[in-house]
Amino acid sequence: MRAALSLPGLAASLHAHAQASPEQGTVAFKNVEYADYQPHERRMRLSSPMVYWYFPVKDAFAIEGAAATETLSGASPLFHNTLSGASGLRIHEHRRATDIKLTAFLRRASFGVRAATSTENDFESSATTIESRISSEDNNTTLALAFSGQSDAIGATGFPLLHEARSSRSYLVGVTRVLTPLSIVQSNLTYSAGRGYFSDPYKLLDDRPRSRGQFAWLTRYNRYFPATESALHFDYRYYRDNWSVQAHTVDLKYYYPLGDGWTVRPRLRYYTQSAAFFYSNAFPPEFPGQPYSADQRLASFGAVSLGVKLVKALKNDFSIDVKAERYEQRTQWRLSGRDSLPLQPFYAYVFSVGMAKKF
Amino acid sequence: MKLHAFSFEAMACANTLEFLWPRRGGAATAAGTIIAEVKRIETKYSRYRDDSVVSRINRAAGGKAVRVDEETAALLDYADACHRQSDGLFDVTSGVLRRVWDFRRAVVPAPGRIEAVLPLVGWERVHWSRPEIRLPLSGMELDFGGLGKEYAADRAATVAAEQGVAHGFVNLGGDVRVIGPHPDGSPWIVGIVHPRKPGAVVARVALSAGALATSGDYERFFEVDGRRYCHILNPRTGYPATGLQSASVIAPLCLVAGSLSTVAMLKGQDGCDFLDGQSVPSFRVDANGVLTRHDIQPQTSLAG
Repeated sequence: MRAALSLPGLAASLHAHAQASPEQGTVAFKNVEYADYQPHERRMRLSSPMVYWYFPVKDAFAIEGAAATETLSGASPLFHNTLSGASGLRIHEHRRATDIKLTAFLRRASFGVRAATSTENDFESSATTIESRISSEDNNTTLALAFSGQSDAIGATGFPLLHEARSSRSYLVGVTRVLTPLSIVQSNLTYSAGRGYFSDPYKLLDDRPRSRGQFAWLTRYNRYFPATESALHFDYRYYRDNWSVQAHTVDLKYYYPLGDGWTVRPRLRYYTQSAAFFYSNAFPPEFPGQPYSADQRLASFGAVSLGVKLVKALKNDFSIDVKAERYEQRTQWRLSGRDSLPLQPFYAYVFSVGMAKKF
Repeated sequence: MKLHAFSFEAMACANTLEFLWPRRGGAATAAGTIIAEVKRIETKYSRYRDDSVVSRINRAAGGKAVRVDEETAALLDYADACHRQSDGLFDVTSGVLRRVWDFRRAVVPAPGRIEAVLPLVGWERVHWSRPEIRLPLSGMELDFGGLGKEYAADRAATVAAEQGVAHGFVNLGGDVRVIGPHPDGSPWIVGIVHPRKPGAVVARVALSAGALATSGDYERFFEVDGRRYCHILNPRTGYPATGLQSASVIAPLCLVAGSLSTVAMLKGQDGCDFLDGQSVPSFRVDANGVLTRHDIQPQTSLAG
């Protein structure tokens, strides 16, 4: 259970195509390569091919799906100079994920049902979502509602007695409003309540609370510039949970056509979070019996992603794209957070190559 | 000063050498000299090479005594001391058990096969009278597998110091020997590999001098009917060690850290008591995956 989807930069990629226009079918393929590092050492590598397809059925229905596999190798991002162990250990993990969604379109509304599963040798997850979009008479305002239930089964290689589970329910309310013919604003509120096992079975003495409430507020502003035919996407996301993690994300993307079917899309993203109340890098735990984790993902830090994507539209609604992104995480880049020992800087690179065909 | 890192293969392991080098050039030359020392020891004690010291001794099994050089004699003296102090569990003659335990084919030996080779195992049968060694029975074998890599790590650190390296470490297949701490005196952080979870660590240890060696049941093993058979073989029973998933020891010499961790694995559940009785810090993961540690002085260690 290496929670590959929590790797920076990958979480959204499986559904990135989900905003395809309802009238056109799409088939897309993408391969993502990910590697992260700390000074002097390569930590983890991930390779993930994925396919996505979307088929409209007589303008009234659409069926879409995605499938991905991931192969993971290397060490998790921990803080050491070298490793001591019996030699000969090879590190490989596999994850398979599938996702299928059925949408029905009415005159000014749509209803969707989605089922997703993810399987690893020690982790199984399934989620069901129902969602609806309703537009106003003038089509300038759209209301989105979604409810999602997820259940996970957690085991651990080498610990046959570990059989844990967790479940969560998520609610989404969102409004999209066309401000002017050139600008759109969207605001989404999500709340998720989970119960069960949130600890990492592979981390020593990791003991997290058995409930988690998460709240996020995403505001998105898209602006089109007709003179250059370019577009700016600005996202701000506020997040907080009852583990006392508070996070802010600012994400800027700029789509600029270069002519001849080429589009370049630079991206700048800043993320910062405060630490969970039970995060500590003291070992052993100072307060035995209290929640404890030394997982760096629960520490306070700041992170910057810089990326560029290049898309080339070819004949017959065929397009190819390449993307490169660099992620860097540092303790001193945080906006706020408890004082804790600075972690070593952490870097990650994501490269992807994709192709899509519309019909 | 710049940190230089070198990776190399020797003794069927992936190895690394990292050190800070004070001058502009010459780091690669120094590394070459250090790595050459590791390869020298590999060549000298490999049982796969006809011209190795070990092969020469093994060929003479059942025959005449073989005279050995000073370095080999020192290693044999050390093996002799380990054998005595471990109630015979640390045994450089147990390599013949590999004839019946085939970890590639993953089958438990048929009844009687282990018993058939056990008479060829036993350091107490060996005639060791410095500088001459004689294996009394044809078919007996010496195997420096439990010594060579650790000794090479210690020698690499010595050669590195002779080359002028003051800050760095060498890691031979998971056995780590520090050459010297960071220039400000701060330690190197060594993660102890999780015995069941590839890529995870069970503990992190701050090491500014000395060595950390780990033995585990996960290097070469197979499982039949839910039972794990690992490559650490008990010279008295002929069967793989059970009871611990891994044992790590910190000691001034990698040679000592390695043999203590191997003996702890062979002692199984009693391995923790054994290590507690040694004046060394140790980290043990028991059969249920629970980590315990024994400190003689406060050690900085952080959970993964």
